[in-house]
Amino acid sequence: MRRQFLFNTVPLCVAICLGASWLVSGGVLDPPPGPVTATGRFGPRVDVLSLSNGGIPGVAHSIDSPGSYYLSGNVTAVTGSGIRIAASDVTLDLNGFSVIGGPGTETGITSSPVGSVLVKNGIIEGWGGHGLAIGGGHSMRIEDVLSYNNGGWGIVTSSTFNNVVSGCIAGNNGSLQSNTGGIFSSGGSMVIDCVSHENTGAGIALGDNTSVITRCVSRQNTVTDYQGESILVRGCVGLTATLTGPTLADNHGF
Amino acid sequence: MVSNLEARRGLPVPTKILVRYLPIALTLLFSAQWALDGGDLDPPSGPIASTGRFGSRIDALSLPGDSIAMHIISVPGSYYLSGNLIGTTGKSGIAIRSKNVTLDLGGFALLGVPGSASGVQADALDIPGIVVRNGQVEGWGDQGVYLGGSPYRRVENVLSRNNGSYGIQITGEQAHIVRDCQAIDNGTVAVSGGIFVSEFSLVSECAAFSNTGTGILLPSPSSLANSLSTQNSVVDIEMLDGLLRGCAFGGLLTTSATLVDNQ
Repeated sequence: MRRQFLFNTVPLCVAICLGASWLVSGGVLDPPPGPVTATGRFGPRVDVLSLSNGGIPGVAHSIDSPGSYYLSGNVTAVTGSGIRIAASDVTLDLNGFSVIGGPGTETGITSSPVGSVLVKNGIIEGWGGHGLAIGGGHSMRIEDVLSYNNGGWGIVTSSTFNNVVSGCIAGNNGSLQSNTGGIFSSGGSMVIDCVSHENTGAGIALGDNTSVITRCVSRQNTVTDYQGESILVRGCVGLTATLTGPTLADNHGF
Repeated sequence: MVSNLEARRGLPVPTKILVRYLPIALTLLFSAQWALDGGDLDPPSGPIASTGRFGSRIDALSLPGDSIAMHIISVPGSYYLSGNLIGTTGKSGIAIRSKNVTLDLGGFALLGVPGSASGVQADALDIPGIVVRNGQVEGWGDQGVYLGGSPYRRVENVLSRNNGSYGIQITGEQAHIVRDCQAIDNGTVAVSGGIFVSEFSLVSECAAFSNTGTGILLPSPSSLANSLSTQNSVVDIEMLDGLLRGCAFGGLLTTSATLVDNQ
C-alpha cells in the first residue's frame, strides 16, 4: 500500500517542483545577436560627434536639447567654432578628449544664452577666440578642463549668477584679444583649485560682488594675476592683484 | 495487485492510467525543459571588446612600443588601460609623446621590475596638456610617473609606491595640478622622494609617506594644501616659496613660504 502510494505521489511532487522551477528560471544566458551596445545604465548619453551643426553656420556640432552628452573622439576644426550648446540643462563630458582649433577659428565650446550647464574632463587648445565661453542664464559649472593657447579667454562663464570653475588650468591665453586672459567668471561665482599661468591679460578675473577665488595659483600673467571688485580671495598664490574692496585671507605673494 | 487496488477505488481504468502516468510524463517534460533552459555560462568566444560606453577610447596596452618604452602614445586622444602592465628591464611602461593626452589607468596597476625605467613617461618638449589618473604605479626602477619638459599637466588619484626615484615627478615646465595622490616608499634606488612638482603649481589632498628623500618638493612658488607628509628620510616638505596651508608634516624646509593652519 505504502509502495503504491509512493509510486503515485513522488512523480507528481517532482513534476510540481520542476514546473515551479521552470516558471521562475532565469531565462537564456546567451547574449542577443549583434554588436554590443550601451546598456542605458547611465541613460541615453549622446555622442556629440554624431550631432550636426543644427543649421548654424560656422559650428561643427550643436547640442540643441537638454541631456547628457559625451565625446567619443577629438574635435578638430579649421574654421568656426567646435561645439555650440543651445539648450539649458546640459552635461557635456569631454571624456578626456580634446577640442582643438587652429589659426582663424573662433571659440572651442560656445553657447547661446542657456542655464544649468556642466562641462568637464577634457582639453581645449588653440582656438582663435575663447577656449570655452558659455553663459547667459545661470548655474554654469566647469570642472577639470585644461584650456591653453587660445586667442581670447581660456575659460569664460558669463551667467548672471552661480558659476563654479574648479580643477582647471588656463595657460597662455589672450594673445589675440585685448582685455582677456585665463579665467573669467561673472558675479556670483566661485573659482576653486585652479591654475592660471602666462596669460596675456588677467589670470583670474571675476565680475563684481559676492564671488570667491580660493586655493588657486595665478602667476606670470601680463596685466594682473587676480582681478575683481568686492570679492573674497583666500588661500591663493600670486604676485599681482587688481582688486577693489576685496577681502583677502591667507594668500601668498600679493 | 495493482489492478485490485484500482478496482477497489472504483475508478475507470483509463482514468487510473492517466493518474499513474501523467506525473511521470510531466516530470520528463519539465526535466528536459529545465536542462535546456539554463543556457551556456561560458562567455562568447573571442577577445573582450569595448562596449562603446566611453566611445573610441584606446587601450594603451594595444599600442606598440620601442626600445625605450613598452607602449607609446603618439597622437592626441583619450586612452585607458584594460589590465595591469608588468614591466620589463630597461624600458618604461607607457611613454606619452603627444600633446593633449588623457591616460586613465582605470584602476589598474603598472608594475615595474628591477632595472626598468619609469611607469609613465612624458618628457619631451612641446607636448603640453597631459592628464594621468586613476591607478597604481609600483616598483619601477626610475620614477613612477615622470612628466617633464612641458606645461599644463595634471595627475590625480594615483598611488605611486616603491619606485626607484620620485613617485610622481613633474618638472621642467610650469603650471601643473597634482591632487588626490599618494607617494609611499619611493626612492629605493636613489635618494629622491615622493612628489616633486615645478613652479606655479597646485598640489592638494596628497600624502607622502616613508619615502627615501623629500616627501613633497615644491622648489618655487606653488600652493600645497590639505596634504600629509610624514616619515620621509630627508625632510617631509621642502617649499622654498609659496603657500603651505592646511597640511600636517614632521619636518619643513622653507625660506619664504606663507604658512597657514598647519600641524
